[in-house]
Amino acid sequence: MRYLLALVVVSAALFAALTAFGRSVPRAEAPELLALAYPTTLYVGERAALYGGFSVPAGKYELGAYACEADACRRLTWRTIDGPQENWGGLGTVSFGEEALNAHDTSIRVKIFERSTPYAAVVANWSAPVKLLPAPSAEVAP
Amino acid sequence: MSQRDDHDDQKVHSDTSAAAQALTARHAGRPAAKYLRELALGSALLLGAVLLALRSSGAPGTVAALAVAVPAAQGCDLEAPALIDANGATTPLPASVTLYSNVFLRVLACGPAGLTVQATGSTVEGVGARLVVAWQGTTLYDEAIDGDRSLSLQVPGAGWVVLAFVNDRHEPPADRNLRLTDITLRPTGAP
Repeated sequence: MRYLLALVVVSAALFAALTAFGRSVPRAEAPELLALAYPTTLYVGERAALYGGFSVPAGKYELGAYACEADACRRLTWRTIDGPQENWGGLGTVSFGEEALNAHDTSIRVKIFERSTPYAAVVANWSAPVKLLPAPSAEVAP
Repeated sequence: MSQRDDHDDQKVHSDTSAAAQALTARHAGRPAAKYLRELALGSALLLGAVLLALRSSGAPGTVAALAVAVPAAQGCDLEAPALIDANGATTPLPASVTLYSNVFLRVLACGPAGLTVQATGSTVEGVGARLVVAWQGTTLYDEAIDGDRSLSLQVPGAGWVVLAFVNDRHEPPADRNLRLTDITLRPTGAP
């Protein structure tokens, strides 16, 4: 019986401790996508801008947009956002070179990180494929 | 380690030994089934408490898919939808704009709607002016426009619709620009 009582006491203490820990960790709602305009197809060498709107709850965030060939990504833009707010704007400019035609896996990605956590947790992650086409001939250009 | 820690450790050790002796004595003096029942009940209680606490504490660091927000009803204007530019300036629809550089415009749909646009684009190095029309995370239209196009798009539901000119280029005398005329957004009722 004493063993059972000890277990109850330990359980209660553990429950209280973990609950208190849970309350101390910021529990922001996830950022939400309002709209995202990006090129679904792109000619080799064509430069295209990305635009997006996001609704972020209270807290400090960082937003990064990336152009990726397979898993090799380069950053297009990076900015900080102090929530709560609706944040609209450019997300950088994307273009792919001739060599990316062979990658067969070109995409853009947008991630939002929560700065409030020591490890900058990713709280939103969005990815979309971009179909790459050979550059058209310049016969139309003057 | 401090003397107090040593003392605490000894006390804990002492308590543990006493508990072990008590358990041993109890185990020896009682049927094994009763001991096991207490052990199982205690373990279940402990596990339940841990799971409940973890659930209430959330899981920081969880990667979430980017949710899509549906606009608040008060932001919608069925009678007079307005085009909003990057600076927040509004233009009532129907509207016409000429875009000389990369830029985005947005209009809030209150529900399913039909979007119509007359677009005229010019070409540089064989590539026309790229118009992207997006609703939430969905691309409704994405074409490099060379000449005139008449677009009639279906907006699936409430949300922001973005019209963006994304590939501006100026190689004198060629200049890639985009003109959008007669932009309209009309509700089509429930899907």
